[in-house]
Amino acid sequence: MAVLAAPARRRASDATSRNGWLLILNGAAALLVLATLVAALALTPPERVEGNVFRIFYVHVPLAWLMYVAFFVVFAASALYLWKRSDTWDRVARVSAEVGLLFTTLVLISGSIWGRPVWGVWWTWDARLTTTLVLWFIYLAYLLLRAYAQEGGQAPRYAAVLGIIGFVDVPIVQFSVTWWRTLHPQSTVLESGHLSGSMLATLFLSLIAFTVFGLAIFLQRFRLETLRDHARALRQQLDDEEGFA
Amino acid sequence: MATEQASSIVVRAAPASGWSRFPRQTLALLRREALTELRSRETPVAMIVFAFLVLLIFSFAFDLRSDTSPEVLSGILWSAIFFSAMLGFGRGFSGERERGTLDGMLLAPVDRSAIYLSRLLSHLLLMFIMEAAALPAAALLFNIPVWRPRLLLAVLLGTVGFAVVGTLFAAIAANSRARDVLLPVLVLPVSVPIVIASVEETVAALSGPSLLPPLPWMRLSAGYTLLFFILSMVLFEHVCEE
Amino acid sequence: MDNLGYLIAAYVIIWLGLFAYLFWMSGMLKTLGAEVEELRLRLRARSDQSEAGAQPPAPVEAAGR
Repeated sequence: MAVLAAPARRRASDATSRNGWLLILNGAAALLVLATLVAALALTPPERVEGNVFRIFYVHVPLAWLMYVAFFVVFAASALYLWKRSDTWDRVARVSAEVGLLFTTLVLISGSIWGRPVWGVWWTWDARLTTTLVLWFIYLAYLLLRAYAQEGGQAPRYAAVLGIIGFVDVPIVQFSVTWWRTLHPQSTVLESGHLSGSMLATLFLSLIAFTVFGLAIFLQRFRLETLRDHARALRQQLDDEEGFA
Repeated sequence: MATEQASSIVVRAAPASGWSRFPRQTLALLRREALTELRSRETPVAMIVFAFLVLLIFSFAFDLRSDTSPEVLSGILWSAIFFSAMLGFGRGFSGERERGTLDGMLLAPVDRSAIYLSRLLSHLLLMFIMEAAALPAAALLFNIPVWRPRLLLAVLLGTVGFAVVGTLFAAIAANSRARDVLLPVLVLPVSVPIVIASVEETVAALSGPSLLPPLPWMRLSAGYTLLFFILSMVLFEHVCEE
Repeated sequence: MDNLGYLIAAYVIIWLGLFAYLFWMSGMLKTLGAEVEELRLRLRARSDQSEAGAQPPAPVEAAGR
């Protein structure tokens, strides 16, 4: 019985300080996001060519940034898992993959909605959009692989292999699709450097805000996954013990 | 049964040490796997028939006539090759048989990469057999000059590049549920560069004189193949364990 | 006027999406937290029984399988 109590006590005090940090992080995320919204929607002027629709830029770009960060985390965690064989790394990888899929989906949607008024079409097979779509499929493949794996310890290993291969592949995909489709209606803004001071500042703010926000989302999801694993372990323990009854 | 056979073959093929161990293991494994696949004849035949059917269906789907562009023809040809290849890779190593023979090989002191290499080679063999039938068929049906060296080279590069990642993921998918559906889901996104490169290089081969200097596509195919070959050889041991 | 509709649509979808995800997560956290508590209690009950040397009861239907 003491065996059960001691870890629980330690867990409780760890949890309190951890919760403290989480609260601060979540609070900071909320504030930064709010600031970004105000800046993006009200404070910066509309863009010269595209008008107000350009404001999608301030959420689309940070989401794309988060998408790549998440993918890198999947790669790094996969490699670390194969090296150290620690379940924590596997958990980091699968949480990052799910969160990354969410970000990628939002990038595609926001990009498409932005493209319609500006380019006249909902979709074009230009390099960046196509690569993002392929990345979406790789994320999806990762999650499906885990979902369809058989019971037994293989899923983390297989997924880790895919995590590594997928990441190495993405720049190559970008490369090949760029050669294939060189018609990207170059975003006039970034090309000709028409980003005014306040726009750059807002972009910078939005990048920071989304990074903090993304981290908060990741940690929350990580907590959820840890709890899930814990529940599974407890259930397993109960099953084993009931087997003796 | 399969377990003992496999491990005994490999143990016999493995001298105590030295450079010759790896190629000998690979060859021994290859001989066994290729013979199993080919003796049964199911897989190569199914692949050939499937490739033909794809060519046929796409002809209807695209309503092809004599003036069809090289882009469309190249796309049809490669669709037939890639889909048929995935069919072949997926069939090759089904669950229980896989477990049995794999456990046998793992009992013996065999290099995991040798297993990968032998599988890759047997998959390549299957693909070459299928292409030996599909290419002439395409030449006939679509009036395309498949005998140009440039086109054959493009087919060769694309085949090897696709087989490199296909073999790795086939081993992964073989041990999962819904393996037939999972394999394309895993392979296709990752294989996008080799798909693009192969199709584009074939278009160039079909439409231009055969002695033009190779476009970047061939370099992309070669680079992709080399990179993922090395990566797969290194990572395969993680696929194998248990 | 000036494609405002698209701007609004994009922002609404993105923020709805993100907050829906957060909402789902907090719901799952509660559910799982409750489940973990229940499982822990059951485990403790079981180990109490075996300590006391009591006859284990007939296996109960495992709930929530």
